[in-house]
Amino acid sequence: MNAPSPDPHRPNPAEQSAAKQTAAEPDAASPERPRTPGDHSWFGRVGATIDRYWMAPMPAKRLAALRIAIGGFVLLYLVFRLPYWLSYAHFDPYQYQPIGLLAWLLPKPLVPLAVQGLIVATIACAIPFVLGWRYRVFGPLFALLLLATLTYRNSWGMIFHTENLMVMHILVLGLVRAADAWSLDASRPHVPSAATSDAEDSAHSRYGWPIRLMCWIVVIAYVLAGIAKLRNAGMEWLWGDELRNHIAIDNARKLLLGDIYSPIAGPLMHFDVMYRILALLTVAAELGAPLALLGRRIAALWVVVVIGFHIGVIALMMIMFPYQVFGVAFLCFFRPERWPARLRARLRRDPSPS
Amino acid sequence: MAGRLYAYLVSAVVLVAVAYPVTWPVAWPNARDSFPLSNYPMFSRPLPLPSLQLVYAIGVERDSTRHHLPPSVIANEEVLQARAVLAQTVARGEAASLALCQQLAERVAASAEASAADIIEVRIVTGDHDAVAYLTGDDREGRERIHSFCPVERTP
Repeated sequence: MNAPSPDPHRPNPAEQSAAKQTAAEPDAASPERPRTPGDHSWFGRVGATIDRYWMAPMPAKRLAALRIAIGGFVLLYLVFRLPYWLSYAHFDPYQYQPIGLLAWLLPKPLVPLAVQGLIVATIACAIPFVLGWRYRVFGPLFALLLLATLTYRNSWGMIFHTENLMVMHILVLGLVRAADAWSLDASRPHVPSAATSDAEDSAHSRYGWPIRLMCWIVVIAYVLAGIAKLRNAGMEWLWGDELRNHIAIDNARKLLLGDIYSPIAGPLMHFDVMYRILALLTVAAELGAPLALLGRRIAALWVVVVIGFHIGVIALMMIMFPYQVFGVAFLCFFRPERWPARLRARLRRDPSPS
Repeated sequence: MAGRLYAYLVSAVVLVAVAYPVTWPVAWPNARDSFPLSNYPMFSRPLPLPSLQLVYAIGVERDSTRHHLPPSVIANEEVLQARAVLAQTVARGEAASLALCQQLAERVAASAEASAADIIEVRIVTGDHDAVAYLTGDDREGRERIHSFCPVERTP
């Protein structure tokens, strides 16, 4: 963590000896944990169970893999949409409706140069974030700049919901020691935040809880989306008519506003049964999100369903949630640190013809 | 111990924060939303009928051919941002609507798009449509109310 001294994440000797559990480290979506001695009262047992679950050791490389994958995705996302972010520098000030932290901190819009500076600084800080260079500084700095940039873009009368998970994940990564492996800091042992190569390979609770937290953030977001539908529209939403009307209105709006719309939405308008099935699947996938916390296989199944749901949203509404569709939002449920080695092994086994 | 305390403190703050929006009202018109915390109200609004009332901008040719002006001309690439800009402007009254209309006419005049070449007038309108009928092509007319219109003036 990038915290003042004493560093709350610097392990003491006892923690370090416990950290050498490389063989059987659990994944974030797995409930099984080693038992630890504790007091035997009810509270003690509950506390110990929570502690075993939340503070389960995980390898430094897993958190590092998430830093690289999520940070890299955000970097590309920012760069590819640069003209779009910059467009907010020239909006009329009367359209500014600050939300979130900006409602307190920035009652009036920034001057164009400051907007441009904010966006450039965010992109610039994303690079050391991904590389894990001087992470104690650039981890939290990038997280805050990203939060500011995206809150600013959402402060013009329209709140988008495509980047909420992305920002929350970056905030978590920015507040923890996600650069103790696979980073420039880790290759420079004299840097205070760097871990030794020993630590790179070891599992520790300080790398586990942030991953668990990221999983829970994903799950809560989907559950809230499911609850909102039932709170707002009631069980009627499950009958499919509401969903069909939403899809019709969204596409008609795109047509009237001269945007790209779904070419299949019109021909499918009268297939009522399809919307009933889609409505049930949507709410089931959203409210069923906690199942993903039960184990890696269930998580994989849930992720497939949810990515399928998002692909359906693209097909029927031309609305894309890139962080979810590309699977980046769900990496925390798995063991992405193992994938490069697997890929290398597979490439060695199946050399492509020259 | 400090590490554990930090872990639980950060975890508790983040979990409470992301779950807290469940207490916000989701029903219109008092619905509350924010960023990055949200109760994700999108597509949850009760819609027993596919009625759509929308402010949009159209470009009109000499022979009355209509072009719906795209989001990039109105605001930026995001269609929902364009919708917000148009709705906010119309809500501010006639003068604001006319000012935006003139800005749009200037952008149309400066546009290199072939489809914009024959547009002679820009209109900002509110349309009432049956979205299903509009989408299936059964009724593309609906009812429209013009807020402002202005000519597209091109310098030779």
